[in-house]
Amino acid sequence: MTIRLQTCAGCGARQYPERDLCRVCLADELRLVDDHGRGRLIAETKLHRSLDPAFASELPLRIGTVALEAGVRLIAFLAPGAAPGDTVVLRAARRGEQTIFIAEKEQRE
Amino acid sequence: MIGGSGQGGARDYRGIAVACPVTVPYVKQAKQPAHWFIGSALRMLLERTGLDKAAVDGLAVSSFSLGPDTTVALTEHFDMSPRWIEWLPTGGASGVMALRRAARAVQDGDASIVACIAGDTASPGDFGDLVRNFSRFSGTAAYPYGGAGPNGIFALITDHYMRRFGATRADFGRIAVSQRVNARDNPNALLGGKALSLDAYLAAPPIAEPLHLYDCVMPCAGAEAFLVMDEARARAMGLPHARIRGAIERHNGFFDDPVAERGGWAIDCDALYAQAGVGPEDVSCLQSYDDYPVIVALQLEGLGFCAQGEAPAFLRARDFTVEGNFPHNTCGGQLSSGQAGAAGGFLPVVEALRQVTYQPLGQQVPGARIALASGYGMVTYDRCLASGAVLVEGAA
Ligand SMILES: [Zn+2]
Repeated sequence: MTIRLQTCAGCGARQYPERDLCRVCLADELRLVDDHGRGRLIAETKLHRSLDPAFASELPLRIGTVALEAGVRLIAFLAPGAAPGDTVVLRAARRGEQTIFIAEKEQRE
Repeated sequence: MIGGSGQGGARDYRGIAVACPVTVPYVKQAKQPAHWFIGSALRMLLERTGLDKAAVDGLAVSSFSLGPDTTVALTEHFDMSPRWIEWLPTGGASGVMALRRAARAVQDGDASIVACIAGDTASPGDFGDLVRNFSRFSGTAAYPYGGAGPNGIFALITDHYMRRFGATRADFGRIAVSQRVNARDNPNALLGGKALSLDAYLAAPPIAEPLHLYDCVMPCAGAEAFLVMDEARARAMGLPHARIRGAIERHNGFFDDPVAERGGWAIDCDALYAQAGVGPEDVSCLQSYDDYPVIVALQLEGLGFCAQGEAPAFLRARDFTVEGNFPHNTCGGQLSSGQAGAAGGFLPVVEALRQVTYQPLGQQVPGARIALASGYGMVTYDRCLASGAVLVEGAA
């Protein structure tokens, strides 16, 4: 399963969250490029409160910070079993009108 | 040095006085808008100094809830015609930033007397609205992940810090508990009357693990303010005042760190003390930005009191109460006073000024001479971007 990351055709930099120009060289040459979504889970939290009533029925829920091998970091929902220090793979999913990421512990074959 | 990141060549702040710390009492919720809190702070500045409103020819303001207005609109609300204004939508860093800008304006003759004011109102739902619309990145890449706001982000920062440096919840508890002791005699601290033991801290309900209830500030309404002017004028007016020994700020420092484990202070710490001609050992009290205890740890490290990762040991070895050997957040900080929006970013500066001019709301640090005030603001995605610090010394 892959995710798509904003990538600069000019200098190759990848970035997240999405911006309007390349964060490094400021070129107007951004493309969405497939990425394997592999990275390391470096921090987690279990949320017990939310400011958004839409999450009320799902609490507590876990989110974490993932440092992607692609050189960007992002916040993702954590699938059961993913723990800090693990190599994780991101899966993109839809939630309402939004694309969100879920980090799953990488399965070693 | 051209294009470098150092502060080589920064002028000193000689001849500038910071005076008249005022606080518009905090309340949990308010019907009055932010304009009322900011205007009330201005009135208090005038009452305390005997200044005529027309003599205030500079106005620097910070607020989150003033929208759609900014500083310029307030000149109309208050019938003022200042020749210099500044707008500081930078929250937790806005106190240090206002001080730096006002000092330069007075040094350069663009203003003679600058009122620096931060104020915010608070009503149910305000905080959620603020978080949802705080920045483009938080709207697209943070809020969709559970809608926890800053609690979720700082939980991640705290979790990482605990894993990386071996900090425990009890280490952070020392910060919250000592500040509650400091708040005891401060009538403006909304939680000052409620004792907090380490056991109660540890037993508190979870909010966003590892953060629990007493790691999180309580949003409230209120205002903080001070004046910046020429030192000769402050002396002529008989105003107790402080001099600025050194000041720094930094934005988006260490942006490549995957999780915030340092703040921008660490880049400019040496420059701060070099400008001041003093060291951390000369600081009588530290007023740090305490939105969450882990950020206090980053300030202890970034401002030269201990090395990176050593804040937990430093906390265990020191007494952070007013009468202890490391007086810190001597009015109780935001963790015990409440977070009055952007005024929380002014609180360290105002409390530093109170301590070195011997005008405390609560307890006085004995012999206070030099205070360090620090700021940290604007969690636009996964950390705060703005950091700053100022060393002020009471003018004898
Ligand atoms: Zn580029």
